[in-house]
Amino acid sequence: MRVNNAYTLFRLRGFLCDYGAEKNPLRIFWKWTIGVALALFIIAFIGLSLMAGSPKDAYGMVRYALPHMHRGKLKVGDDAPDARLVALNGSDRFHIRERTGAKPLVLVFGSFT
Amino acid sequence: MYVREAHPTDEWQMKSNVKDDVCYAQPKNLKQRLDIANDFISRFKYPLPFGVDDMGNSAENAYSAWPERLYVIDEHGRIAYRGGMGPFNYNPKELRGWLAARYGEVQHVQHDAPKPDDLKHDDAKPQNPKPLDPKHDDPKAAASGPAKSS
Repeated sequence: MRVNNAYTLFRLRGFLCDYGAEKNPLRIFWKWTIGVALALFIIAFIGLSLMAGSPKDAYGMVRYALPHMHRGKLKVGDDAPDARLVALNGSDRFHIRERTGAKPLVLVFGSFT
Repeated sequence: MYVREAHPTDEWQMKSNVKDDVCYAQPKNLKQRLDIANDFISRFKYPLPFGVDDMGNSAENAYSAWPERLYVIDEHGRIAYRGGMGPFNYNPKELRGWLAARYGEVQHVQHDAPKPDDLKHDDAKPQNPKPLDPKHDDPKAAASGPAKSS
């Protein structure tokens, strides 16, 4: 283990020395770009983890939630889209627009979990 | 309106789901979806009319409804209120205020759970909306005017 640590330090020292001696502007540009991008990614992930509750939740949010969350294009004043829904008995169907007309209709979308 | 699960066990499950014993995998067919919806109804004695989105998620897509969202469709068949995207902007309190401003204070009416016979409208076609009164879009104007719900 001690040998490994020494080797790592040696490599790090070599990297820093090489970095300081780097003359190729393109390589410097890419090193900085990748470094900054990596730092921003880590900061964003930490921020998201704090917001979501844990790194696992942050991953869940990015993997499962964000692809399905859409602001949508509906605006106040637009015709309400129709959709066919299934009744709880599983055999009957009805349309949202069948329930509109005489009274305003409040739609509450959601799931159990 | 029941739409796709937000935190199923096979996707992004939350600790609160385990704590509350609300653990379901994402339904792969309509029967599974209906089973969860019926479980919800029976556990919470949910009294309001209830519909389940189909497996093509047509209602969810039409209304950008996932994971949760609130809308009001007015008497003319148009979107009168569009709530923010849940969970962070899901705001029933705001909707209550909006309804009170437009239609007067909300009155609580005891509903029975929907019966299957009440939902047999398969042959009925969607109604054509009447022209929209622009005043109805403005809650302030509506509050000041005679805009009482029938």
